[in-house]
Amino acid sequence: MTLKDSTEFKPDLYVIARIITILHEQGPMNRTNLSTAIGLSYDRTVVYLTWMSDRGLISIDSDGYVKLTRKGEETYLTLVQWIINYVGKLKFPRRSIGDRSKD
Amino acid sequence: MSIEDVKARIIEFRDFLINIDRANAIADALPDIAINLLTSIVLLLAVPIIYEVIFVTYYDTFTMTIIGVALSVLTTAYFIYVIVAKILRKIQRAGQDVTGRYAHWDRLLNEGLPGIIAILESINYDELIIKIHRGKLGYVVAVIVYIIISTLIAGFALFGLIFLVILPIFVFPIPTQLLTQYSIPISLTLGFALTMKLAWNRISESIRTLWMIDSITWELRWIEHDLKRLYRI
Repeated sequence: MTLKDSTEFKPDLYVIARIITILHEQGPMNRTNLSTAIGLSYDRTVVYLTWMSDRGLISIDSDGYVKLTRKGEETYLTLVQWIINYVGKLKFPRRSIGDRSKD
Repeated sequence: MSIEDVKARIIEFRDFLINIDRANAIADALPDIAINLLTSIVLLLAVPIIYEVIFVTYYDTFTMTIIGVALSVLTTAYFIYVIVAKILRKIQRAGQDVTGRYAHWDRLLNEGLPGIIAILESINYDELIIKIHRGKLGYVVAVIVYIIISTLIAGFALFGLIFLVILPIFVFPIPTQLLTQYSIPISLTLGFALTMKLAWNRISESIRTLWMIDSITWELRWIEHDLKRLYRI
């Protein structure tokens, strides 16, 4: 995988969120365990990790352990805040015309 | 607010989408419902006319009573069949399968933050907003059908109660003109008034829901817009 490949790669936000969440909750782990935890093939995980590493979200040490950088932690908090801000304030009408539950 | 509260909100979102899908299914069933309703209404109007024609051409109190009872029984039976077997079942069945479309949301919600993102990402917002607008039509249809059916049911019940039970106790025989020309309009008017009195809260809540649906489309647009921005993190 070259740097050029990793910049053309269009990631799935869901997978990135999974990686960030797992690293945030479980701390640093090696690539094999991480790929098992996120349910992605090892090769595919490496593609994502390269992409995330290029953007400074994670760092990989000499032993192959992946950990969140400060930017990665901030990204996690941004995602959580975004979800809370946008989804939390939505108000949905819960009742359909045939629903008699509140009568 | 925590992620758990957000999960609860996503479940509300799912219920909302299921309702919108159901409303869309009702909109799809609209031609059938309209035909069945119109047939019932035409029949309701035709019965007194048929009775009148028979009354003019062949007058006999005993025969007319039998014909009147037979027509009432047949009309009632047909009316119940159309309302229960055709319209209500169609509305009830409309979108029965939609719940399955969101079954995987439970698994995703258990994943927490990534699952919520996956759910929001999987939504085609343009298509959803079209569905919401179309669902509004279905919702309006459902409210109107609900009022019409309730009026017809209440009207029939009041017809039976007033003209076949209470009135004969005091006036017998009931003047034919009263029974043929005025009984159904009076019953339906009273049925409508009764429906509006009993169901006013539900109807006004449905109207409020329609207003809320409009504001939700704006919120969803913002989510879609900001979700794209998240990719630039």
